Amino acid sequence: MTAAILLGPQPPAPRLDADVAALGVDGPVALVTAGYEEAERNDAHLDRALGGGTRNLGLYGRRLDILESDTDFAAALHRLRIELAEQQTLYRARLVHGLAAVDAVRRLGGSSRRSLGTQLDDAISDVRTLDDNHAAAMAAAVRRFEDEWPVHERDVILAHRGAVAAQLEECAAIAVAGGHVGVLLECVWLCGVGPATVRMPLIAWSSGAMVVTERVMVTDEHEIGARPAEVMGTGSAAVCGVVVMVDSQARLRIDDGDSLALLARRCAPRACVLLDDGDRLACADGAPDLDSARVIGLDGVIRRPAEAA
Amino acid sequence: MIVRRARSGRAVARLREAAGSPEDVERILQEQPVPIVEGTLSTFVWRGEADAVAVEHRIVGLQEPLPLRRIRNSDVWFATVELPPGSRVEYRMLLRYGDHIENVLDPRNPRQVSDPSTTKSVLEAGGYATPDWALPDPDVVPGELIETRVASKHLGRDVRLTLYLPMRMRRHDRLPVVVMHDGSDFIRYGGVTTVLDNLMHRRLMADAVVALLHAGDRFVEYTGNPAHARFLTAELIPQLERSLPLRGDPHGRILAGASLGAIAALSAAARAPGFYGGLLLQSGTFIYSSVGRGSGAPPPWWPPAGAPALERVLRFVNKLRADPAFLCDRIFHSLGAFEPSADRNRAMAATLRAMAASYRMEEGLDGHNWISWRDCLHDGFAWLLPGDARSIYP
Repeated sequence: MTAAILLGPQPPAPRLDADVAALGVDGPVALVTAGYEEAERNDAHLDRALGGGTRNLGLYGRRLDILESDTDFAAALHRLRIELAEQQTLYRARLVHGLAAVDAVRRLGGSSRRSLGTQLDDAISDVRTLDDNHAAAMAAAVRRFEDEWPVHERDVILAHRGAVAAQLEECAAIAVAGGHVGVLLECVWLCGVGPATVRMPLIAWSSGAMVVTERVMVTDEHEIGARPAEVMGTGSAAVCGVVVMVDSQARLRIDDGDSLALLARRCAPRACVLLDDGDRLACADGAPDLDSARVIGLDGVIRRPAEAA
Repeated sequence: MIVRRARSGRAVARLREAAGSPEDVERILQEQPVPIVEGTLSTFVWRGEADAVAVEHRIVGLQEPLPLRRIRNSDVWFATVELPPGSRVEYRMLLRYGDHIENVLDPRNPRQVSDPSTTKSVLEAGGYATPDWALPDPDVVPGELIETRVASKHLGRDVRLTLYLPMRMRRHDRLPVVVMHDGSDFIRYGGVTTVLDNLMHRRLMADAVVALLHAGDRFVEYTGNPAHARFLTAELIPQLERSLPLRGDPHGRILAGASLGAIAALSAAARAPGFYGGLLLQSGTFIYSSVGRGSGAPPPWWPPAGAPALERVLRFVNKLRADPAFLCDRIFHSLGAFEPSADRNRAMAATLRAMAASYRMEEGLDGHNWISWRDCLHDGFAWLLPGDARSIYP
């Protein structure tokens, strides 16, 4: 049985020893800190927290080298990013209106106590369909890119993937740290690390936890411009059946039950799991133990592990 | 109007009580910053002999100039106004001695600010603070500034500009470009390079190349002049996109400007629909006529010789208002609630909304000045070119 543990953001001196012990790891841990970007190699504190002897896979540096060395591929990847950004812009435009429709229906129901019938459910279903279609469209764009630019024909990518595979061979588990979730997604994909997160014992925290699930959703409801929570991409699917909302205390209107209910219903049938400092989601063979974590119910109520138990 | 003269506060009562003792008056004035801010009440104070004292300002709704009253049996003059929390006012003192009027900075107020024409004292009402992203941060690696020139056939001159290159820019990047009118003044008086350093460092705006134009004759070039529009669209942008790692598509092109610079930006975009992705328009000089084609009232600073330029702006804005064609993805529009052109800017909202897929307007509690424009840059840039701060998790 392959075990995984997903955690919230870690303090400057992380406390990971108990989780590493819970995974029963006997050997070095492969470390992914690509989300830290230029600070990728500032990993001494993580090495200590993981028991020492970690092997940093250096995915951010490898990505830079790939883009510097293979300029044709870099230009094509840039075009893919533009395409994905355009899709994201159009999706966001539709999403804003879809969410406004949900809000309008809810207000109409609340203000006059009129019967909404299935109107609210339908409005939320429309948003969920929008999310699903966007995720599928982005995945399709990436697949088209992979067909057009097969990585097995790119020498520099093959070399880096080979080096990463060799490092992983020496390791008994893999740890994925947080940072920039978009950069992390691209580095994991480019260096072919996704399958390792599925087959190896895994500990991932913050945005590292996001990129090992099926669906990556980002939000910051206090941001200027108030972009809504958006589907951003597809993770490695080492853990299925959940969407993790990291740093939720800072990023979500955590006291707004309607807002939380809407988020949970958008994520359904996946469970919407909150991962803040101190939160923990245990998984076995890709299946999450939802009793171990804080989960937003479809009614917008946050169920805590103790309550679930 | 929200800004008005108000009943005086506790500080004035204390000054009245101490009026017979110059030492006590001075002690009271030394106890606190001047102007004296008490909740929503702000009191201008001047001490000395004069026939009359007043505050010169550009605050709509406040008597202009604002006379100060003398406290009986003292040489202390005061005027109290009520200001909304977060307000900021630039002013100078007017002292009349017989027929002679002196225009001076407030000698008791160390807070001063300069613009191309003068230096002013600054009143910061309760709740106003210089945004932290507008202050130099020793931890931030600044962007690179390159002074350069672009030869323009359309303008018939070499145009000076300062190029801001973001610290993280790499050869394989494809960055957006922002062209800012009055760029040298934005650097000098609006601290824009510090703002860009901080916003990009914090990922609140996307990394972007910013071309800061040094203005020529603003009343010629920034008044809806087609030659200036052609310079931007056919000369400057193509040259920048050839020489720098830029996106090279409409979504990666933003025009920005304040006051007449906003007219210049809007005019260039209106002459090339779909070429630019976004506009940042601040306190635009939106002169228009509601009836017929008669001239609108020019702003007080408009030069007497600028009648042809005024007519050009009037025709341009009238045409936009009559037929607001779709131009670009996003327009961010800010104004100072206290500036004389605030209502004209508000009245442009429907027109500008029709010209973009998304439109956002914000009002600052300030006047028509560089700091007011600086203070709106965070929201403007973060909305037009959102950074990836929300993608970064601790």
